[in-house]
Amino acid sequence: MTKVERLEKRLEQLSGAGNVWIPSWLSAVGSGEEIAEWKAISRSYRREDLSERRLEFQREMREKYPDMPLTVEEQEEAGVERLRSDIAMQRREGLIREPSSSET
Amino acid sequence: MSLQAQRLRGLTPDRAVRGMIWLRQELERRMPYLMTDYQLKASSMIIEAVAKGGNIELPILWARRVGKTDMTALTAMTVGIYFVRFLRHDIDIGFINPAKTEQGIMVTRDRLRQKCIDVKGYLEIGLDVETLLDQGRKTADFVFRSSDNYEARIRAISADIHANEKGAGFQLSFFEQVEDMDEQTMKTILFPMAAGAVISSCRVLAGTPGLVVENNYFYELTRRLRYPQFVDDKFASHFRPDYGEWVEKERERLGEDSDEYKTQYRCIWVVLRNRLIDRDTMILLAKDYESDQTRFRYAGTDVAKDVDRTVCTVIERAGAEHHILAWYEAEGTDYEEQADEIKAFLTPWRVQTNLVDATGVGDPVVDMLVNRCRGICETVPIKLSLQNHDAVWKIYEGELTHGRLNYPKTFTDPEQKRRCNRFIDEHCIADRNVVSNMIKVQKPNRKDAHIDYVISSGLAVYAAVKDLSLHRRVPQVASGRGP
Repeated sequence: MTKVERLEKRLEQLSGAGNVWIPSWLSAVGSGEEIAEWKAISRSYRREDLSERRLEFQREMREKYPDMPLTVEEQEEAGVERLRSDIAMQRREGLIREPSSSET
Repeated sequence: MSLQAQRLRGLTPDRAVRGMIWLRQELERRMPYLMTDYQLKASSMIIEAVAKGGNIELPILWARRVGKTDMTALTAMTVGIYFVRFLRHDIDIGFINPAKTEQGIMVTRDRLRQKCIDVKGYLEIGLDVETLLDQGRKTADFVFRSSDNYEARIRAISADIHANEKGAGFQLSFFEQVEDMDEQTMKTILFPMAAGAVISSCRVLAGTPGLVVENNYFYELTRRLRYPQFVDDKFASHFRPDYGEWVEKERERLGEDSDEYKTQYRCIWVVLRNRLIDRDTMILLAKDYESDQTRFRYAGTDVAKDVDRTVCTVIERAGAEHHILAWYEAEGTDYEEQADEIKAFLTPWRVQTNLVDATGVGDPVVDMLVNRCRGICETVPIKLSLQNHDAVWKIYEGELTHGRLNYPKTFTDPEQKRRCNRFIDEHCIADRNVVSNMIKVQKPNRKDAHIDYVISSGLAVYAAVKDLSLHRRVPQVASGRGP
């Protein structure tokens, strides 16, 4: 690595541009190009725009790779669905509040 | 739909609640600590309140060491992370503690910090949420920040009366040790801390009964709570046998009937040892009464000192009972004008004796009242030394607790009604202290607290019971019943 490359890397680290979060589903199925696209999105947008573009990218990836691991949003969706269908879990988590057996 | 619901990115509040509970499960299973039944239920109540939005208050009365701080810390984390990661919105969360020093606040901060460290890997790698965990002890906020730059700021602040924390604003506030929190600071400074952009504030008031009632608001709020908002040692032991064993030792050490055990573990508000009278008893003293000009009447006057009020109370004696007939109140220290007004106030009531608190105001003020009221009533000064305090308050306390002092229930004059409300409020906040085995009633140690109505009424009752009239005279029967 040349001195210039080292300085560029350092600059990238300091600016935060190099610290792009790569989700596990992307590193599992994504090509180099797709990871680069994800990084480009992450570096180019902020707040609302960034969120929307990431979601859009995730949707495209899901269509392309139906078997890829669940994204965080999909994990949440699945968790909510599991909670909705499991009455015992709802009760345990306090979503259904009935008098407990120990209540006097 | 509430403002909060509109901000949930198209999610219904129910959907957001389930999402937050899923996240809480994910966080919890990465921590070396599992919440018990009552913690989960209370946490879910808070999450529901946040999702629903609006101005919601959730009182919680839990015994010591049953896991209040753990529950609030995990709930705050869940709400904060869910907002930035899934709802994509900023949120401000406050932990408010009555601690004068940073020590009390540090407990929560450290607990929160430890929990963040426990799940740091999951937050950064699994959720893409960065945690800024105060670089130094003085750093104001904990921050959860998503990479799309939404922030959940968690701030711990002091509710001490000198802390002056007016600038902060929170969408979710956890009030800790509310039993020790100054009521006025809480109501005037901390409660209005709804977040600025969208007025939505969920307040969680969590505490344990104290040996004395410092905060009447919390006391009133927590007297009829049910599980899971109320958790005493029995509920806690049911779900946590280790806690049961521990509290068993405490019961042996402190004694089952001790006030310490009753308050700290059984969550019972015991006798109000530092209060002259509690609000319930005070309310029962309201009673309409037909005054009778032939009965003896007495007055008690508390003269204003500096920035204060002068209050004069007129009572009538009817057998063993005393009935308050009217109050006079004036702001400030213009004694000349006040003496004239007191004369005008007392004249139609035809009182026997006006007992005046002469402590601190000096003889000229008393002389002024003596001269103005000559021929109207006997003006008797009293300097409230420790002994005099004891004599006045012993009698007054007895009359109050035995229901022998009554005040009007209905009013035709709205000004008298306002004064009656002050009379009630001041009685409910008056501190009753015992110094050298003598009772002393004082105003609470905070800004803008007054007990002028209490002193004035106490003096009137003392005059009536001791019959301080220098010239016992049978009151002249006049037409009418006074004003």
